[in-house]
Amino acid sequence: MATFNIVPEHNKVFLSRDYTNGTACRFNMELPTELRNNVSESQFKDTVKHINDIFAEAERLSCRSYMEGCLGCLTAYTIFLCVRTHYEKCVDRVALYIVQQNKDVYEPLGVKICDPMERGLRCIEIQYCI
Amino acid sequence: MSQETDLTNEFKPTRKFKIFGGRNQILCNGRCMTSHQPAVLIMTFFLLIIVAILFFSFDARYLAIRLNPVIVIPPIISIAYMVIFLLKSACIDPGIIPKPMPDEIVYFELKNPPPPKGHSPQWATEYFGNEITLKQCTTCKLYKPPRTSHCSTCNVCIENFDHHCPWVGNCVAKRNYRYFYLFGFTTLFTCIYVSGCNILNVVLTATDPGNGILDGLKVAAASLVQFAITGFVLWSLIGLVGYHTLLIAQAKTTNEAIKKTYRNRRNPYCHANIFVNFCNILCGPFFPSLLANRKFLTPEEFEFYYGRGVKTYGMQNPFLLMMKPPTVENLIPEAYPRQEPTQPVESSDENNDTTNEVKPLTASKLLSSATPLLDDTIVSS
Repeated sequence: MATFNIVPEHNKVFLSRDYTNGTACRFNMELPTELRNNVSESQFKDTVKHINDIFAEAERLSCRSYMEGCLGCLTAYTIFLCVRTHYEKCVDRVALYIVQQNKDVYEPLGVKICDPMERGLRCIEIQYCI
Repeated sequence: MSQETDLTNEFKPTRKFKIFGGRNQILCNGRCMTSHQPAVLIMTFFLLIIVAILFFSFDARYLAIRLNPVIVIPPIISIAYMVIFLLKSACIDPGIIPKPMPDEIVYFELKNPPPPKGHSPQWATEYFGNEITLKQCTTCKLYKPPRTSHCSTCNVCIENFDHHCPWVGNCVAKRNYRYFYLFGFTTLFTCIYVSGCNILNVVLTATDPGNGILDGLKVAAASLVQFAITGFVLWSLIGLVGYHTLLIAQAKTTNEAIKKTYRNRRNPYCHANIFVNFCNILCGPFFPSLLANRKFLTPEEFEFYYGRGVKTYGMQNPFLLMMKPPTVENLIPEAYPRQEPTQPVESSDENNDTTNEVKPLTASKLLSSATPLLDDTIVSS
């Protein structure tokens, strides 16, 4: 009888959000205990920090984002039908960065990080083999 | 027939909006969404169109010939903006947080200490230097981030929830607050402009040689209709736009203002400069929708929502499924022993908390032990 398996073939850990600096999108940089055997702490911290930095850049309140908002307002937000927003570009960069890191670092260690957008930025799913 | 073909349980490409758990209607194959009660939105739109048609066919035509054609340009622009802002605030995702899958629910429920009896699971975390507990939403099963609230009309959790606006027929929150505010603002401008033109029209007609006040009112009957509508809208709008201007200046949401969240502490989102607050909200970054309505389900997710075991459970309707997501208590009974513990406990204390016993187990071990249990639950019932 085919049913949904909670654990398909890999085990999963979820990296929760970090709300210390408010509701801006940031993920917890602590290495989950389940991954202690596979990944070094500093390596993992660097990866998550880089993801956090890209999201911080996407949500930064700077002249650039104000310009984007004003330009959108002046064109009645029709400009975004043909131009991607800064945030969307940053989300793409996160996805690309995760793919690269998986290929270079994590897959040889038996760990796979998933795109946080797949879980609606609630958490980052990490699959690992024991 | 369609039911039968569904029961074959074969994977077929299905877009994610099919499993959306809220009450919003999703249109155009996942491109836009509206409320489940769009009647008031249609009425709002209808009023807007009536006033626009009446204004351009009577007042604007008369005044353009009598005074100056330039008088027609501002309302054309503002009414076009009104339509766009109304559609934008009504038909986009206001900032819905998608409901988590059971693996995520189970993982976080096991990771956090078990809640006191009769409470929903909680997650203690730090927030601007303060310890806060995030409560789990009983419907969506996600730990509600700060400023997030569950909208009972839409049946979803919404980020930066402001309020559910029946006129727009959508929640007003993180993604569409600016459109909502700008809609109010342009409507206010249009109402003032149109009613000004109405008065001008009546006065000019009445002061024409050989005409009296009565003639003016007779000729400008359409102006009276517009004046009644705009006047009615104007009085309610002045209060609304004024209130929201005040809230933006303080960087609060309506929800927080009603609950008086910042009565005893400083609002961490509020800048000293009011101008910065306005820029942040009206010209800040454009957050993408987290729903990914246009994306396709993975085979694993498809199996979960449309699988054969799920069918026998009577959960083929994704809405029903979302109303009753599996909880840790259902899936892993030994994690939350409700009755007496099966192992004899040698303890002098009668009321010791048995739930503490499971804490040393790692979440992954419990998860792997949960798999057969889940199968049993779904297939047998």
